[in-house]
Amino acid sequence: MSLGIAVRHSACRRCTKCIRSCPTRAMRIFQGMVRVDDELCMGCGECIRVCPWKAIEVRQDSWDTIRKNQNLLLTADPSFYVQTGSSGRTGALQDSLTRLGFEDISDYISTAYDLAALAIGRQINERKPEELPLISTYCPAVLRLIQLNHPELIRHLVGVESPLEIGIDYWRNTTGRGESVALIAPCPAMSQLQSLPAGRVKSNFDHVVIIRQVIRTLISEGMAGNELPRSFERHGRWLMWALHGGETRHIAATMGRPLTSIVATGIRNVQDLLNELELGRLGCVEYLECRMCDQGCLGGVATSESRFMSLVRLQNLNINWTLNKEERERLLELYATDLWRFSAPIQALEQKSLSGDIQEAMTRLRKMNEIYTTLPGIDCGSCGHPSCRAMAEDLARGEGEITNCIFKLKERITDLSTQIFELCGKNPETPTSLREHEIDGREGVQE
Amino acid sequence: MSSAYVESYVVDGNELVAIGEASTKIKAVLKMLGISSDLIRRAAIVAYEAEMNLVIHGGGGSMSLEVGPGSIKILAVDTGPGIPDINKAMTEGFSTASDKIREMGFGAGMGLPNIKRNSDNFELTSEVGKGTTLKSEILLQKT
Repeated sequence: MSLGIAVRHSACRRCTKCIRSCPTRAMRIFQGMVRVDDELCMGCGECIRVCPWKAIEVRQDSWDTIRKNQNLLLTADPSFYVQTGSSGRTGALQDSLTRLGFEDISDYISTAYDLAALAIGRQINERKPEELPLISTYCPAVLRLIQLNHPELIRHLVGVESPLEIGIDYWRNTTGRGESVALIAPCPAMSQLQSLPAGRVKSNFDHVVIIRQVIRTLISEGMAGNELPRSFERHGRWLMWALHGGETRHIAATMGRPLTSIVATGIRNVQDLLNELELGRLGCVEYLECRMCDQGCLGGVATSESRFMSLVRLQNLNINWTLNKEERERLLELYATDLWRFSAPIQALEQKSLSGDIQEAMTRLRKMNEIYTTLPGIDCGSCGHPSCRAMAEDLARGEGEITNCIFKLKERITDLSTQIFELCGKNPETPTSLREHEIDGREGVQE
Repeated sequence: MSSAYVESYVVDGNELVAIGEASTKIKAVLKMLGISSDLIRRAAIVAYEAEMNLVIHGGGGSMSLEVGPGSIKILAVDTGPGIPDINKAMTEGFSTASDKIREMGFGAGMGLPNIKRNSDNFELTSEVGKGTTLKSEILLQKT
């Protein structure tokens, strides 16, 4: 398993919806097959949302194998826990997992979220005002977007690992155990954590399965409970990270003061916000909580429940935001261990320039502009490139052919048929006519 | 042979919603040319602030980008009211923007100082009643 999404070519109808919807233009149709550029894919799952043929799916391991494996630890993204239940109440999904034979380690995970919130708050306080705002690294798709399109914002990233990873580290350190761990993920980006860990060399997750897959089993087997365990209400702060604004609220709670933050969810909002930060227009803001999905992780493409219903359930939780003295002391001890800190730097992903050599890049850019002006500009996608501009860019790099554009193909055919027609109108001096002429001449002589 | 790459853009003074269009294009061009991200960031700030000045004060105008050899040059020209006192205009916080503009979150008086801070060479010429010309140069390699 290398990346977050997989294309089922047998179901794909080459309708081009996916390649045109991709925010990082990571997809092409080449030789009749949808291709994904691993370097550019950020795992947002937009292609999965728009595919009418259900031909694109989140990569995951076999749930059947995972659930039969008794030596496996299973941990879930917070959004998992609000996928079922009557209106306003949350299903006791942790109990369901326990009944399947999986150990409950949610106490460790919940503590890790407290720790992450505390560590982020500390980082905000430690920064000089001109170095703010810090940007959340919780959503792996946002992190990747920054690495790809906003490398200059990397210095704004908060250096705290995913609390899901911290939780496993904490559990391993405390218990000394070393079983394999599987993650129940709400989206391709989270499932990508396994192969592309953020801020660490190796992920704690050995397997990934998506929320929808697990919930389907639990519902079909009548195991999706209806009540939330009391412990979740008491320590439910971490569940709120699945909701837009939940992370900010948790951080503010550990800081003991209000936090000036902007919460942006959905691709367009996130892109706009990052552009504004790049232009230096977000003075006085301390924190940016960005989530690639609408409403936050609840809107993940691999969840099973309506994001609006899971939102209602989360909002109805009676969350205790105040850490008691004992909790705070334990957190400060953990904070001192650096368990939460990035152990590998976040690096910029190479920009896709037209050439490594600036003169060559200029030549190609001029060529690209020339090509672009001759293209129809309707971005139909029939050529297999996501837009006319992307096609011009690919052609300038020497990839693809101009006649992949159906309009250019038609022009070529028109030109050729005009030439053919002109040729047909010519009366060539063929050997046949020459012979007739000669014969005529000879006949004349004979007469 | 070393030659410059030039592109120009028309900035419509009546289109407040389209602010940022030219600077977005400039950023995309620089990215494709493989310019380093720090220089792109500086050029994007210069272009954006210059574009805003064209819309807010200049009543529209034209912008151009020239890349190479050795530097990125951004030029913004308008035929608007002009700046009576350039020194005053360069003061941080000084602004003549209307209330309408301020309500939109612009006009904090940081534009010109911001452009200057991000440029290696900066030139501002203006004549009241005629217009304003802004030239900014960012060196590709600092000597």
